Amino acid sequence: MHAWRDGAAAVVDVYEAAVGTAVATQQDVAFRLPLAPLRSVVALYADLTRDIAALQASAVRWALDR
Amino acid sequence: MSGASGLASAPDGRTQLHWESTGDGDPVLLIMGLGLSGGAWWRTVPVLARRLRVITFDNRGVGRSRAFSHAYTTDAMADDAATVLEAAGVERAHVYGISLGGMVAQKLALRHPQRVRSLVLGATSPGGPRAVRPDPDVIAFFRRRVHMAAEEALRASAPINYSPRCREEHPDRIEEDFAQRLAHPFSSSAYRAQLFAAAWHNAYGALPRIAVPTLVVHGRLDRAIPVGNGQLIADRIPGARLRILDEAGHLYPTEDPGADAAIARFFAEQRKKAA
Repeated sequence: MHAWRDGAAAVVDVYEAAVGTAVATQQDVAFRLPLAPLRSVVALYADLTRDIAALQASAVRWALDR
Repeated sequence: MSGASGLASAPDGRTQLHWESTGDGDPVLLIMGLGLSGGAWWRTVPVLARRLRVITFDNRGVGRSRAFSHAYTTDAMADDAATVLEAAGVERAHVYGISLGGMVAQKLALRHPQRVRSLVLGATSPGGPRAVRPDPDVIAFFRRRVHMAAEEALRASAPINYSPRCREEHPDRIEEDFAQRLAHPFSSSAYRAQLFAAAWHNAYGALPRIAVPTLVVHGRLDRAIPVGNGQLIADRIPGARLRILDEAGHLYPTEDPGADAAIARFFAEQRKKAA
């Protein structure tokens, strides 16, 4: 693999780790919220963040792994 | 042999995951594949539960589990698996996933490495552009399957899921599988959502980060996920072992009753190493 591909793959790894931390924080916040509707909204946002990031990472890796 | 069951709530508070636990010993989490409930592990559970605490669950949207979203990712399903472990009071477990469940198991080991003691990846794919694709007629079947009645779909899937030898010599085993599956309602929306998750799964570049003992099991005659994918995974995960079952197709636990016994030995070996 070319050096730039290794570098790009490392950036994707860091991005995934950062999103993972952000999602865990959002889920933690949701867990502590006393109102169920508000909790659902924050948890939904966390899920969307995780799933959109997963699709982005998959697409970028798809290009890098060719 | 002790048993337990429960409903685990995902952090969104609306995704509910039905889980069951059988046996005593080190915990092992089983993750099932496309469209099937945890009950589809019916052949494997008695073999592993002789020495292990075996935890099965219905993936989101399947069986007695409920889903909140209409599009899944293997990342979300891996988080569900971690939620099930939490609900079952298990900090760390051996993990065995088959087919789509193997993709979820890869993500579980990557997203929650502290939860995984060892890994068995059965009949699965790393995803991404290097993955070996099934024949076009198999892909066409997966797309068509959602519009078929449950029994019709099961019978049409037999040439994809079972080797010619199994279909010829052990039709009784295949009929047993069908009866088990027909006992659980099939959700076409969950199937579509899981198909989306499988299509977008791509762990190929991240697999070298998996640092737990890993066994890759694959039937050489697998038409749903060709055997080349097992070889790719074993090459990418450091120290992974590859066991190819020469006579088996995709659903090898039905075709080769010795496969689950070998997997039980792999888990026992990890216990001895840790002791």
